[in-house]
Amino acid sequence: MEKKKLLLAEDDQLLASLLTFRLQKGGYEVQHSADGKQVKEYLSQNTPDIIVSDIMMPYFSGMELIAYVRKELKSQVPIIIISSAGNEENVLNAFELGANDFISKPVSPSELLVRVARELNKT
Amino acid sequence: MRTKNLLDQRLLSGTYPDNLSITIDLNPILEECMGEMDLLQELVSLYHENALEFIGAARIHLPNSDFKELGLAAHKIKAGLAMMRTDSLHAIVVLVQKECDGDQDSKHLQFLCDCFTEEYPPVKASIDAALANLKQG
Repeated sequence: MEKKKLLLAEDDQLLASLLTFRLQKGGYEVQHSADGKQVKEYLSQNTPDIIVSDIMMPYFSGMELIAYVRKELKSQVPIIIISSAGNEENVLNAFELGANDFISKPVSPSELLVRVARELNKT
Repeated sequence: MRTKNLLDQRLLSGTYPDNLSITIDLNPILEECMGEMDLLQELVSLYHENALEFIGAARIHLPNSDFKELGLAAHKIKAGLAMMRTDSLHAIVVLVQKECDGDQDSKHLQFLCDCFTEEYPPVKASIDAALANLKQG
């Protein structure tokens, strides 16, 4: 069975390393992008099955990413955002822009795996 | 130890969280790594790189009053500090980001960054000791 492609947009290398490892173990093909430039470059040539993105990233925030995917690419690919605690306003804005789900930091890799699978099952 | 004393005073006065600790237990992280010691070691290395990067960022951005960049540097390291359960450093960085987003008081930021610089070496020693213990089984 072909692996589902997951784009992980996260500028924290520490968190990204752990999440990439666990997501790969969970059977996903993971592309990690550390900033908005890499994200845009990847999306211009690839179509992931799901995107997991931090809200705060250099060059291109998670909000801009959601807007770019929904409005410019006109894609309905599921987007899960990673948000710091106490960032509720951003989370609400992200949902308004078209995010499908959110997970708070510190991120539990097991919880993220469940949420990713849930979103993919909806599609 | 001036800044450490000031931090202690703030703790006693309730200005800072009182659950700061530098006892490090890497077992929960090793579980998240599914027992892969190499990955845990990589995470510990990244943690140390991030901490040093933050100390460097503070030295560059504070004298320039570049609060936006300092706030971003604080944000970038925050999740890793929480992930490794290094509460003392995490609490300091949360306050740095809050100050950068809010009052932008240079003196307070300098104090917090000094606290981070002083607090990091014992935390590093604790992490390295915890890692060595785990490796020995």
